[in-house]
Amino acid sequence: MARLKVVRPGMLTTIQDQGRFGQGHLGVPQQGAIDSYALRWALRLAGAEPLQAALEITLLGPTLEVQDPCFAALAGAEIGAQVNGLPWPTGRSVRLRQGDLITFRAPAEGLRAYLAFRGGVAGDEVLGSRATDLKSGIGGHQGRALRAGDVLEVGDGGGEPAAAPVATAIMRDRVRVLPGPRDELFPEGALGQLTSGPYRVTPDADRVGMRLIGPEVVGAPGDIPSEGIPLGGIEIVPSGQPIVLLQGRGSVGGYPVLATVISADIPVLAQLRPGSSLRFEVATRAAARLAREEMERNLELPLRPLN
Amino acid sequence: MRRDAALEEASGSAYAFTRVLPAGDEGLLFEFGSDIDEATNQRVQDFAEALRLARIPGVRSITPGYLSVLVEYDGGLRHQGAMEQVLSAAGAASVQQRMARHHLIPVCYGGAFGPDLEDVAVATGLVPQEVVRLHASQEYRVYCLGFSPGFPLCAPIPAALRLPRRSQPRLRVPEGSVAIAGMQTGIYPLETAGGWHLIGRTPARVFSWNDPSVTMILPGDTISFRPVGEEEYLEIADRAASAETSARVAAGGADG
Repeated sequence: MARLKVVRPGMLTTIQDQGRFGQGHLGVPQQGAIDSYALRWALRLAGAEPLQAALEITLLGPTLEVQDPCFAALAGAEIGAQVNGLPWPTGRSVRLRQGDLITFRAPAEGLRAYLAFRGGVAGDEVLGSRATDLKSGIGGHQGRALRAGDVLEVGDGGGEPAAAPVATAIMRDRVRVLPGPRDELFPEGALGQLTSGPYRVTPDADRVGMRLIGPEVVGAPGDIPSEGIPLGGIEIVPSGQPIVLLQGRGSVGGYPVLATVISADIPVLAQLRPGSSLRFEVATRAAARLAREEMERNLELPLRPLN
Repeated sequence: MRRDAALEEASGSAYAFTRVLPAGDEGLLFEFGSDIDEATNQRVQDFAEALRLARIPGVRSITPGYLSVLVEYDGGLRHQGAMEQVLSAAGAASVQQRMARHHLIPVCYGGAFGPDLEDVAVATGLVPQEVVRLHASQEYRVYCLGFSPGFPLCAPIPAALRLPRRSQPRLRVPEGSVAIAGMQTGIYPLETAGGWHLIGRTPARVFSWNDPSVTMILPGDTISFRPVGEEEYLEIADRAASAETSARVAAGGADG
Protein backbone atom coordinates (compact mmCIF):
# COMPACT_ATOMS: atom_id res chain seq x y z
CA MET A 1 0.00 0.00 0.00
CA ALA A 2 1.01 3.61 -0.54
CA ARG A 3 0.60 6.24 2.16
CA LEU A 4 -1.11 9.57 1.80
CA LYS A 5 -0.73 12.16 4.53
CA VAL A 6 -3.47 14.68 5.19
CA VAL A 7 -1.76 18.05 5.66
CA ARG A 8 -5.03 20.01 5.66
CA PRO A 9 -8.40 18.25 5.60
CA GLY A 10 -10.39 20.65 3.42
CA MET A 11 -14.00 21.47 4.21
CA LEU A 12 -15.40 17.94 4.27
CA THR A 13 -13.38 15.07 2.88
CA THR A 14 -14.63 11.54 3.53
CA ILE A 15 -14.00 8.02 2.27
CA GLN A 16 -16.98 6.83 0.21
CA ASP A 17 -17.85 3.96 -2.09
CA GLN A 18 -21.07 3.07 -3.91
CA GLY A 19 -22.90 2.69 -0.61
CA ARG A 20 -23.89 0.42 2.23
CA PHE A 21 -26.61 -1.57 0.54
CA GLY A 22 -28.87 -4.32 1.80
CA GLN A 23 -29.36 -3.00 5.34
CA GLY A 24 -32.60 -1.04 4.98
CA HIS A 25 -34.50 -3.47 7.20
CA LEU A 26 -32.06 -2.69 10.03
CA GLY A 27 -32.52 1.04 9.64
CA VAL A 28 -28.97 1.47 8.37
CA PRO A 29 -28.63 4.37 5.90
CA GLN A 30 -27.26 3.82 2.40
CA GLN A 31 -24.49 6.47 2.45
CA GLY A 32 -21.85 6.29 -0.31
CA ALA A 33 -20.81 8.87 -2.90
CA ILE A 34 -23.42 11.56 -3.51
CA ASP A 35 -22.25 11.83 -7.14
CA SER A 36 -21.95 8.17 -8.02
CA TYR A 37 -21.39 9.07 -11.69
CA ALA A 38 -18.27 11.05 -10.83
CA LEU A 39 -17.14 8.33 -8.40
CA ARG A 40 -17.47 5.72 -11.14
CA TRP A 41 -15.39 7.86 -13.50
CA ALA A 42 -12.72 8.41 -10.87
CA LEU A 43 -12.50 4.68 -10.16
CA ARG A 44 -12.39 3.78 -13.83
CA LEU A 45 -9.75 6.39 -14.69
CA ALA A 46 -7.62 5.20 -11.78
CA GLY A 47 -7.98 1.58 -12.85
CA ALA A 48 -9.66 0.73 -9.55
CA GLU A 49 -12.45 -1.80 -9.05
CA PRO A 50 -16.05 -0.53 -9.18
CA LEU A 51 -16.73 -1.36 -5.54
CA GLN A 52 -13.55 0.16 -4.15
CA ALA A 53 -13.59 3.38 -2.15
CA ALA A 54 -12.33 6.86 -3.04
CA LEU A 55 -12.16 10.25 -1.36
CA GLU A 56 -15.21 12.46 -1.66
CA ILE A 57 -14.09 16.09 -1.63
CA THR A 58 -16.60 18.83 -0.88
CA LEU A 59 -16.07 22.38 -2.19
CA LEU A 60 -12.73 23.16 -0.56
CA GLY A 61 -10.29 20.35 -1.10
CA PRO A 62 -7.62 19.00 1.23
CA THR A 63 -3.85 19.28 1.03
CA LEU A 64 -2.37 15.82 0.66
CA GLU A 65 1.24 14.69 0.76
CA VAL A 66 2.05 11.62 -1.30
CA GLN A 67 4.44 9.42 0.68
CA ASP A 68 4.82 6.52 -1.76
CA PRO A 69 4.37 6.25 -5.55
CA CYS A 70 0.82 5.62 -6.69
CA PHE A 71 -1.59 6.18 -9.55
CA ALA A 72 -4.61 8.45 -9.00
CA ALA A 73 -7.54 9.99 -10.85
CA LEU A 74 -9.81 12.92 -10.22
CA ALA A 75 -13.41 13.25 -11.44
CA GLY A 76 -16.42 15.41 -10.74
CA ALA A 77 -16.39 19.16 -10.13
CA GLU A 78 -13.43 21.24 -11.32
CA ILE A 79 -12.13 22.22 -7.90
CA GLY A 80 -8.73 23.59 -8.87
CA ALA A 81 -6.54 20.57 -8.16
CA GLN A 82 -2.78 20.97 -8.48
CA VAL A 83 0.17 18.64 -8.11
CA ASN A 84 3.21 20.58 -6.92
CA GLY A 85 1.55 23.76 -8.17
CA LEU A 86 0.78 22.43 -11.67
CA PRO A 87 -2.87 22.14 -12.69
CA TRP A 88 -4.50 18.71 -12.53
CA PRO A 89 -7.76 19.05 -14.47
CA THR A 90 -10.70 16.95 -13.38
CA GLY A 91 -11.42 13.85 -15.44
CA ARG A 92 -7.78 12.78 -15.64
CA SER A 93 -5.45 10.26 -14.06
CA VAL A 94 -1.84 10.95 -13.10
CA ARG A 95 1.17 9.12 -11.71
CA LEU A 96 2.16 10.45 -8.33
CA ARG A 97 5.65 10.28 -6.86
CA GLN A 98 6.89 10.28 -3.32
CA GLY A 99 6.85 13.84 -1.98
CA ASP A 100 4.24 15.18 -4.40
CA LEU A 101 1.88 17.71 -2.85
CA ILE A 102 -1.78 17.70 -3.94
CA THR A 103 -3.61 20.95 -3.31
CA PHE A 104 -6.96 22.40 -4.33
CA ARG A 105 -7.86 25.99 -5.02
CA ALA A 106 -11.44 27.22 -4.84
CA PRO A 107 -13.74 25.40 -7.23
CA ALA A 108 -14.78 27.06 -10.46
CA GLU A 109 -18.13 25.32 -10.57
CA GLY A 110 -19.84 22.45 -8.82
CA LEU A 111 -19.54 21.04 -5.33
CA ARG A 112 -18.10 17.54 -5.19
CA ALA A 113 -15.08 15.77 -6.67
CA TYR A 114 -13.67 12.27 -6.21
CA LEU A 115 -10.06 11.25 -5.85
CA ALA A 116 -9.50 7.57 -6.59
CA PHE A 117 -6.39 5.40 -6.56
CA ARG A 118 -5.46 2.24 -8.39
CA GLY A 119 -6.04 -0.38 -5.72
CA GLY A 120 -8.60 1.76 -3.88
CA VAL A 121 -8.51 3.57 -0.55
CA ALA A 122 -8.34 1.49 2.61
CA GLY A 123 -10.96 2.17 5.27
CA ASP A 124 -13.09 0.54 7.92
CA GLU A 125 -15.49 -1.90 6.30
CA VAL A 126 -18.83 -2.05 8.13
CA LEU A 127 -21.70 -4.22 6.88
CA GLY A 128 -20.05 -4.66 3.51
CA SER A 129 -19.12 -1.05 2.74
CA ARG A 130 -16.31 1.41 3.46
CA ALA A 131 -18.63 4.40 3.10
CA THR A 132 -18.27 6.90 5.94
CA ASP A 133 -21.49 7.41 7.91
CA LEU A 134 -20.82 10.68 9.73
CA LYS A 135 -24.01 10.51 11.80
CA SER A 136 -23.35 7.02 13.11
CA GLY A 137 -19.59 7.49 13.22
CA ILE A 138 -18.74 4.31 11.32
CA GLY A 139 -16.97 3.29 8.11
CA GLY A 140 -14.25 5.09 6.16
CA HIS A 141 -11.52 6.62 8.29
CA GLN A 142 -12.60 6.03 11.89
CA GLY A 143 -16.15 6.97 11.01
CA ARG A 144 -15.35 10.63 10.50
CA ALA A 145 -14.19 13.26 8.03
CA LEU A 146 -10.46 13.47 7.43
CA ARG A 147 -8.35 15.59 9.79
CA ALA A 148 -4.90 17.08 9.54
CA GLY A 149 -2.31 14.47 10.42
CA ASP A 150 -4.32 11.46 9.25
CA VAL A 151 -2.35 8.99 7.16
CA LEU A 152 -4.42 7.04 4.65
CA GLU A 153 -3.46 3.86 2.90
CA VAL A 154 -4.18 3.72 -0.80
CA GLY A 155 -3.32 1.28 -3.56
CA ASP A 156 0.19 1.45 -4.99
CA GLY A 157 -0.53 0.16 -8.50
CA GLY A 158 0.78 1.98 -11.56
CA GLY A 159 -0.96 2.98 -14.79
CA GLU A 160 -0.97 5.04 -17.96
CA PRO A 161 -2.42 8.55 -17.58
CA ALA A 162 -5.66 9.07 -19.48
CA ALA A 163 -8.59 11.46 -19.68
CA ALA A 164 -12.34 10.87 -19.67
CA PRO A 165 -13.88 11.45 -23.11
CA VAL A 166 -16.84 13.35 -21.61
CA ALA A 167 -17.38 15.65 -18.63
CA THR A 168 -17.32 13.68 -15.38
CA ALA A 169 -19.65 16.08 -13.58
CA ILE A 170 -23.07 17.01 -14.89
CA MET A 171 -23.76 20.70 -14.40
CA ARG A 172 -27.34 21.70 -15.03
CA ASP A 173 -30.08 23.62 -13.29
CA ARG A 174 -32.89 21.37 -14.46
CA VAL A 175 -33.69 18.15 -12.66
CA ARG A 176 -36.18 15.59 -13.93
CA VAL A 177 -38.60 13.86 -11.58
CA LEU A 178 -41.11 11.04 -11.73
CA PRO A 179 -44.34 11.53 -9.78
CA GLY A 180 -44.72 9.55 -6.58
CA PRO A 181 -44.68 7.34 -4.73
CA ARG A 182 -47.10 9.48 -2.66
CA ASP A 183 -48.31 12.07 -5.19
CA GLU A 184 -51.90 10.93 -4.80
CA LEU A 185 -51.93 12.05 -1.15
CA PHE A 186 -51.48 15.65 -2.35
CA PRO A 187 -54.17 17.89 -3.78
CA GLU A 188 -54.31 18.04 -7.55
CA GLY A 189 -51.90 20.69 -8.76
CA ALA A 190 -49.15 19.87 -6.26
CA LEU A 191 -46.82 18.62 -9.01
CA GLY A 192 -47.67 21.73 -11.00
CA GLN A 193 -46.56 23.88 -8.07
CA LEU A 194 -43.34 21.90 -7.68
CA THR A 195 -42.51 22.46 -11.34
CA SER A 196 -43.82 26.03 -11.53
CA GLY A 197 -40.67 27.96 -10.84
CA PRO A 198 -37.09 27.93 -9.62
CA TYR A 199 -36.05 26.73 -6.18
CA ARG A 200 -32.93 27.83 -4.40
CA VAL A 201 -30.68 25.46 -2.48
CA THR A 202 -30.54 26.71 1.12
CA PRO A 203 -27.44 26.43 3.33
CA ASP A 204 -29.28 23.54 5.00
CA ALA A 205 -27.86 21.08 2.49
CA ASP A 206 -25.60 18.17 3.29
CA ARG A 207 -25.13 14.47 2.57
CA VAL A 208 -28.56 13.72 4.05
CA GLY A 209 -30.50 16.06 1.82
CA MET A 210 -31.07 19.53 0.45
CA ARG A 211 -33.66 21.88 1.86
CA LEU A 212 -35.00 24.08 -0.93
CA ILE A 213 -36.89 27.34 -0.93
CA GLY A 214 -39.25 28.40 -3.70
CA PRO A 215 -42.85 27.89 -4.82
CA GLU A 216 -44.95 26.54 -1.96
CA VAL A 217 -46.63 23.19 -2.45
CA VAL A 218 -50.02 23.76 -0.89
CA GLY A 219 -51.93 21.17 1.08
CA ALA A 220 -49.14 18.75 1.99
CA PRO A 221 -50.81 15.97 3.98
CA GLY A 222 -48.36 16.08 6.92
CA ASP A 223 -47.19 12.89 8.65
CA ILE A 224 -47.80 9.45 7.19
CA PRO A 225 -46.87 6.09 8.73
CA SER A 226 -43.09 5.76 8.35
CA GLU A 227 -41.99 4.10 5.13
CA GLY A 228 -38.86 3.63 3.05
CA ILE A 229 -37.66 6.83 1.38
CA PRO A 230 -36.09 6.46 -2.07
CA LEU A 231 -32.88 8.17 -3.15
CA GLY A 232 -33.89 11.51 -4.68
CA GLY A 233 -37.25 11.45 -2.93
CA ILE A 234 -38.76 14.92 -2.61
CA GLU A 235 -40.48 15.25 0.75
CA ILE A 236 -42.81 18.15 1.36
CA VAL A 237 -42.59 19.38 4.94
CA PRO A 238 -45.61 21.04 6.58
CA SER A 239 -44.42 24.53 5.55
CA GLY A 240 -44.92 23.44 1.91
CA GLN A 241 -41.22 23.54 1.05
CA PRO A 242 -39.38 20.55 -0.44
CA ILE A 243 -36.44 18.57 0.88
CA VAL A 244 -34.62 16.34 -1.60
CA LEU A 245 -33.20 13.28 0.14
CA LEU A 246 -29.73 12.03 -0.75
CA GLN A 247 -27.53 9.02 0.10
CA GLY A 248 -27.12 9.95 3.78
CA ARG A 249 -30.87 9.97 4.44
CA GLY A 250 -32.48 7.82 7.10
CA SER A 251 -33.89 4.59 5.70
CA VAL A 252 -37.48 5.51 6.60
CA GLY A 253 -39.31 8.78 6.98
CA GLY A 254 -42.74 10.10 7.82
CA TYR A 255 -43.23 12.91 5.31
CA PRO A 256 -44.91 11.95 2.04
CA VAL A 257 -42.71 11.87 -1.07
CA LEU A 258 -44.43 13.85 -3.83
CA ALA A 259 -41.94 13.01 -6.57
CA THR A 260 -38.57 11.33 -7.02
CA VAL A 261 -35.58 12.63 -8.96
CA ILE A 262 -34.61 10.23 -11.77
CA SER A 263 -31.40 8.29 -11.22
CA ALA A 264 -29.62 9.97 -14.13
CA ASP A 265 -30.13 13.38 -12.48
CA ILE A 266 -28.96 12.57 -8.94
CA PRO A 267 -25.44 13.59 -10.05
CA VAL A 268 -26.89 16.97 -11.05
CA LEU A 269 -28.13 17.50 -7.48
CA ALA A 270 -24.76 16.39 -6.12
CA GLN A 271 -23.07 19.36 -7.79
CA LEU A 272 -25.49 22.10 -6.70
CA ARG A 273 -24.06 24.41 -4.07
CA PRO A 274 -26.14 26.26 -1.51
CA GLY A 275 -27.44 29.36 -3.26
CA SER A 276 -27.76 27.66 -6.66
CA SER A 277 -31.10 27.62 -8.35
CA LEU A 278 -32.84 24.62 -9.88
CA ARG A 279 -36.10 23.74 -11.55
CA PHE A 280 -37.98 20.47 -11.49
CA GLU A 281 -39.47 18.98 -14.66
CA VAL A 282 -41.77 15.98 -14.82
CA ALA A 283 -40.29 13.21 -16.97
CA THR A 284 -41.84 10.06 -18.37
CA ARG A 285 -40.66 6.62 -17.31
CA ALA A 286 -39.38 6.11 -20.85
CA ALA A 287 -37.34 9.32 -20.69
CA ALA A 288 -35.90 8.31 -17.31
CA ARG A 289 -34.86 4.97 -18.74
CA LEU A 290 -33.27 6.53 -21.83
CA ALA A 291 -31.37 9.04 -19.69
CA ARG A 292 -30.04 6.25 -17.51
CA GLU A 293 -29.04 4.15 -20.51
CA GLU A 294 -27.17 7.11 -21.98
CA MET A 295 -25.34 7.58 -18.69
CA GLU A 296 -24.31 3.91 -18.62
CA ARG A 297 -23.11 4.14 -22.25
CA ASN A 298 -21.03 7.24 -21.46
CA LEU A 299 -19.33 5.39 -18.66
CA GLU A 300 -18.16 2.78 -21.14
CA LEU A 301 -16.69 5.15 -23.73
CA PRO A 302 -12.98 4.56 -24.35
CA LEU A 303 -10.56 6.70 -22.35
CA ARG A 304 -8.31 9.19 -24.15
CA PRO A 305 -4.66 8.33 -23.53
CA LEU A 306 -2.50 11.30 -22.49
CA ASN A 307 0.90 11.52 -24.20
CA MET B 1 -57.59 -7.47 9.53
CA ARG B 2 -59.25 -10.34 11.34
CA ARG B 3 -57.24 -12.76 13.37
CA ASP B 4 -57.95 -15.87 11.26
CA ALA B 5 -56.65 -14.06 8.19
CA ALA B 6 -53.49 -13.24 10.08
CA LEU B 7 -53.02 -16.88 11.01
CA GLU B 8 -53.50 -17.93 7.43
CA GLU B 9 -50.75 -15.55 6.42
CA ALA B 10 -48.40 -16.99 8.97
CA SER B 11 -48.30 -20.32 7.23
CA GLY B 12 -49.01 -19.24 3.67
CA SER B 13 -47.78 -16.96 0.99
CA ALA B 14 -46.62 -13.41 1.50
CA TYR B 15 -47.95 -12.49 -1.92
CA ALA B 16 -50.55 -10.07 -0.71
CA PHE B 17 -49.54 -6.54 -1.59
CA THR B 18 -52.43 -4.40 -2.65
CA ARG B 19 -50.52 -2.28 -5.16
CA VAL B 20 -47.13 -1.16 -6.38
CA LEU B 21 -46.12 2.49 -6.54
CA PRO B 22 -43.09 3.61 -8.54
CA ALA B 23 -40.49 5.45 -6.46
CA GLY B 24 -38.34 7.05 -9.14
CA ASP B 25 -36.77 4.79 -11.76
CA GLU B 26 -34.76 2.77 -9.22
CA GLY B 27 -37.42 2.04 -6.65
CA LEU B 28 -40.76 0.29 -6.18
CA LEU B 29 -42.98 0.70 -3.15
CA PHE B 30 -45.11 -2.38 -2.45
CA GLU B 31 -48.08 -1.36 -0.36
CA PHE B 32 -49.98 -3.84 1.81
CA GLY B 33 -52.78 -1.75 3.28
CA SER B 34 -53.71 1.64 4.60
CA ASP B 35 -54.39 0.95 8.29
CA ILE B 36 -51.69 0.27 10.82
CA ASP B 37 -52.26 -3.17 12.30
CA GLU B 38 -50.20 -6.20 13.16
CA ALA B 39 -51.50 -8.44 10.40
CA THR B 40 -50.73 -5.92 7.66
CA ASN B 41 -47.29 -5.30 9.09
CA GLN B 42 -46.64 -9.04 9.32
CA ARG B 43 -47.30 -9.37 5.59
CA VAL B 44 -44.92 -6.46 5.04
CA GLN B 45 -42.21 -8.26 7.03
CA ASP B 46 -42.84 -11.61 5.33
CA PHE B 47 -42.64 -10.07 1.88
CA ALA B 48 -39.41 -8.26 2.78
CA GLU B 49 -37.98 -11.52 4.17
CA ALA B 50 -38.91 -13.45 1.02
CA LEU B 51 -37.17 -10.84 -1.12
CA ARG B 52 -34.06 -10.87 1.08
CA LEU B 53 -33.83 -14.63 0.84
CA ALA B 54 -34.24 -14.49 -2.97
CA ARG B 55 -30.99 -12.47 -3.28
CA ILE B 56 -32.00 -10.89 -6.57
CA PRO B 57 -29.07 -9.44 -8.52
CA GLY B 58 -29.25 -5.65 -8.74
CA VAL B 59 -31.42 -5.25 -5.65
CA ARG B 60 -29.74 -2.76 -3.34
CA SER B 61 -32.03 -2.45 -0.40
CA ILE B 62 -35.27 -3.82 0.96
CA THR B 63 -36.82 -1.47 3.51
CA PRO B 64 -39.99 -2.47 5.32
CA GLY B 65 -42.07 0.31 6.85
CA TYR B 66 -45.39 0.22 8.69
CA LEU B 67 -47.50 -0.58 5.62
CA SER B 68 -45.13 -1.03 2.73
CA VAL B 69 -41.82 -2.37 1.48
CA LEU B 70 -39.52 -0.09 -0.51
CA VAL B 71 -37.24 -2.01 -2.87
CA GLU B 72 -34.35 -0.09 -4.39
CA TYR B 73 -32.32 -1.55 -7.23
CA ASP B 74 -29.69 -0.65 -9.78
CA GLY B 75 -31.69 0.85 -12.64
CA GLY B 76 -28.69 0.46 -14.92
CA LEU B 77 -29.01 -3.31 -14.65
CA ARG B 78 -32.70 -3.95 -15.06
CA HIS B 79 -35.53 -1.57 -15.91
CA GLN B 80 -38.58 -1.00 -13.78
CA GLY B 81 -41.07 -3.24 -15.56
CA ALA B 82 -38.75 -6.22 -15.54
CA MET B 83 -37.78 -5.62 -11.93
CA GLU B 84 -41.40 -5.42 -10.83
CA GLN B 85 -42.08 -8.85 -12.34
CA VAL B 86 -39.05 -10.43 -10.74
CA LEU B 87 -39.84 -8.93 -7.34
CA SER B 88 -43.50 -9.88 -7.43
CA ALA B 89 -42.59 -13.47 -8.24
CA ALA B 90 -39.89 -13.64 -5.57
CA GLY B 91 -42.15 -12.05 -2.96
CA ALA B 92 -44.76 -14.73 -3.60
CA ALA B 93 -42.54 -17.42 -2.10
CA SER B 94 -43.79 -18.52 1.28
CA VAL B 95 -41.30 -17.93 4.04
CA GLN B 96 -40.65 -19.54 7.33
CA GLN B 97 -41.54 -16.79 9.75
CA ARG B 98 -38.70 -15.75 12.01
CA MET B 99 -39.53 -16.49 15.63
CA ALA B 100 -40.47 -13.14 17.11
CA ARG B 101 -38.76 -12.24 20.38
CA HIS B 102 -39.95 -10.25 23.33
CA HIS B 103 -37.65 -7.63 24.81
CA LEU B 104 -38.16 -6.34 28.33
CA ILE B 105 -36.39 -2.98 28.40
CA PRO B 106 -35.38 -1.51 31.77
CA VAL B 107 -35.99 2.24 31.81
CA CYS B 108 -35.09 4.92 34.31
CA TYR B 109 -37.83 7.49 33.78
CA GLY B 110 -37.64 11.25 34.34
CA GLY B 111 -34.92 13.42 35.82
CA ALA B 112 -31.77 13.76 33.76
CA PHE B 113 -32.62 10.50 31.98
CA GLY B 114 -36.03 11.71 30.80
CA PRO B 115 -35.80 15.49 30.52
CA ASP B 116 -39.21 15.81 28.82
CA LEU B 117 -41.23 13.76 31.31
CA GLU B 118 -42.48 16.85 33.16
CA ASP B 119 -43.45 18.60 29.92
CA VAL B 120 -45.24 15.50 28.68
CA ALA B 121 -47.14 15.36 31.97
CA VAL B 122 -48.19 19.00 31.62
CA ALA B 123 -49.18 18.61 27.96
CA THR B 124 -51.21 15.47 28.60
CA GLY B 125 -52.73 16.70 31.85
CA LEU B 126 -51.37 13.69 33.74
CA VAL B 127 -48.98 13.47 36.65
CA PRO B 128 -45.51 12.15 35.70
CA GLN B 129 -46.08 8.88 37.61
CA GLU B 130 -49.17 8.25 35.50
CA VAL B 131 -47.27 8.92 32.26
CA VAL B 132 -44.71 6.31 33.37
CA ARG B 133 -47.37 3.86 34.46
CA LEU B 134 -49.20 4.13 31.13
CA HIS B 135 -46.03 3.87 29.05
CA ALA B 136 -44.86 0.79 30.95
CA SER B 137 -48.30 -0.79 31.14
CA GLN B 138 -48.43 -2.54 27.80
CA GLU B 139 -46.60 -4.49 25.17
CA TYR B 140 -45.69 -2.83 21.86
CA ARG B 141 -45.04 -4.28 18.45
CA VAL B 142 -41.86 -3.27 16.63
CA TYR B 143 -43.29 -2.22 13.26
CA CYS B 144 -40.03 -1.32 11.58
CA LEU B 145 -36.54 0.04 12.19
CA GLY B 146 -35.44 3.43 11.01
CA PHE B 147 -34.45 7.06 11.62
CA SER B 148 -31.08 5.82 12.75
CA PRO B 149 -29.55 2.33 12.66
CA GLY B 150 -31.50 -0.05 14.88
CA PHE B 151 -34.10 2.49 16.05
CA PRO B 152 -37.23 0.41 16.79
CA LEU B 153 -40.46 2.16 15.81
CA CYS B 154 -43.01 0.73 18.23
CA ALA B 155 -46.75 1.34 18.44
CA PRO B 156 -49.44 2.08 19.42
CA ILE B 157 -48.96 3.97 22.69
CA PRO B 158 -51.95 4.70 24.97
CA ALA B 159 -54.13 7.46 23.49
CA ALA B 160 -53.63 9.64 26.57
CA LEU B 161 -49.89 9.91 25.83
CA ARG B 162 -50.05 10.97 22.18
CA LEU B 163 -48.40 14.32 21.46
CA PRO B 164 -46.98 15.87 18.30
CA ARG B 165 -43.19 15.88 17.99
CA ARG B 166 -41.27 18.66 19.73
CA SER B 167 -41.34 21.90 17.75
CA GLN B 168 -37.57 22.23 18.21
CA PRO B 169 -35.75 18.95 17.60
CA ARG B 170 -32.66 18.36 19.72
CA LEU B 171 -29.31 18.19 17.96
CA ARG B 172 -28.09 15.53 20.39
CA VAL B 173 -30.24 12.90 21.98
CA PRO B 174 -28.23 10.57 24.24
CA GLU B 175 -27.86 6.90 23.35
CA GLY B 176 -30.51 4.75 25.02
CA SER B 177 -33.10 7.51 25.31
CA VAL B 178 -36.66 6.18 25.44
CA ALA B 179 -39.04 8.55 23.71
CA ILE B 180 -42.58 9.05 22.46
CA ALA B 181 -44.14 10.95 19.54
CA GLY B 182 -47.61 10.64 18.08
CA MET B 183 -48.72 7.03 18.41
CA GLN B 184 -45.14 5.75 18.54
CA THR B 185 -42.52 4.98 21.12
CA GLY B 186 -38.91 4.06 20.48
CA ILE B 187 -35.34 3.88 21.72
CA TYR B 188 -32.46 5.96 20.33
CA PRO B 189 -29.75 3.30 19.83
CA LEU B 190 -27.04 5.88 19.09
CA GLU B 191 -26.51 9.50 19.97
CA THR B 192 -28.26 11.36 17.15
CA ALA B 193 -30.47 14.37 16.56
CA GLY B 194 -34.13 13.80 17.38
CA GLY B 195 -37.49 15.47 17.81
CA TRP B 196 -39.27 13.01 20.09
CA HIS B 197 -40.14 13.58 23.75
CA LEU B 198 -37.49 11.97 25.95
CA ILE B 199 -39.18 10.37 28.95
CA GLY B 200 -36.46 8.00 30.11
CA ARG B 201 -33.31 6.11 29.25
CA THR B 202 -32.33 2.46 29.11
CA PRO B 203 -28.90 1.08 29.98
CA ALA B 204 -29.55 -1.84 27.63
CA ARG B 205 -27.62 -1.91 24.37
CA VAL B 206 -30.12 -2.16 21.53
CA PHE B 207 -27.80 -2.06 18.54
CA SER B 208 -24.39 -3.43 17.66
CA TRP B 209 -22.56 -2.87 14.39
CA ASN B 210 -20.78 -6.21 14.69
CA ASP B 211 -23.70 -8.46 13.94
CA PRO B 212 -26.84 -6.37 14.07
CA SER B 213 -29.30 -8.92 12.71
CA VAL B 214 -28.41 -11.34 15.50
CA THR B 215 -28.17 -8.93 18.37
CA MET B 216 -30.84 -6.38 17.90
CA ILE B 217 -34.53 -5.79 18.21
CA LEU B 218 -36.09 -6.67 14.84
CA PRO B 219 -39.38 -5.83 13.14
CA GLY B 220 -42.13 -8.16 14.34
CA ASP B 221 -40.63 -8.42 17.84
CA THR B 222 -42.43 -7.07 20.87
CA ILE B 223 -41.16 -4.69 23.52
CA SER B 224 -42.28 -3.74 26.96
CA PHE B 225 -40.72 -1.33 29.43
CA ARG B 226 -39.85 -1.96 33.07
CA PRO B 227 -39.33 1.10 35.28
CA VAL B 228 -36.08 0.96 37.27
CA GLY B 229 -34.48 3.38 39.71
CA GLU B 230 -31.20 5.15 39.11
CA GLU B 231 -29.30 2.64 41.22
CA GLU B 232 -30.50 -0.33 39.19
CA TYR B 233 -29.90 1.61 35.97
CA LEU B 234 -26.25 2.08 36.88
CA GLU B 235 -25.92 -1.52 38.01
CA ILE B 236 -27.27 -2.78 34.68
CA ALA B 237 -25.09 -0.32 32.76
CA ASP B 238 -22.04 -1.68 34.62
CA ARG B 239 -22.97 -5.25 33.86
CA ALA B 240 -23.63 -4.41 30.21
CA ALA B 241 -20.23 -2.74 29.96
CA SER B 242 -18.45 -5.74 31.45
CA ALA B 243 -20.30 -8.10 29.13
CA GLU B 244 -19.48 -5.93 26.13
CA THR B 245 -19.00 -8.95 23.92
CA SER B 246 -22.65 -9.86 24.07
CA ALA B 247 -24.36 -6.77 22.79
CA ARG B 248 -27.64 -8.56 23.14
CA VAL B 249 -30.32 -6.71 25.06
CA ALA B 250 -29.79 -9.21 27.83
CA ALA B 251 -29.10 -6.65 30.50
CA GLY B 252 -32.64 -6.18 31.71
CA GLY B 253 -33.73 -9.69 30.96
CA ALA B 254 -34.76 -9.79 27.33
CA ASP B 255 -36.12 -13.27 27.38
CA GLY B 256 -35.43 -14.05 23.72
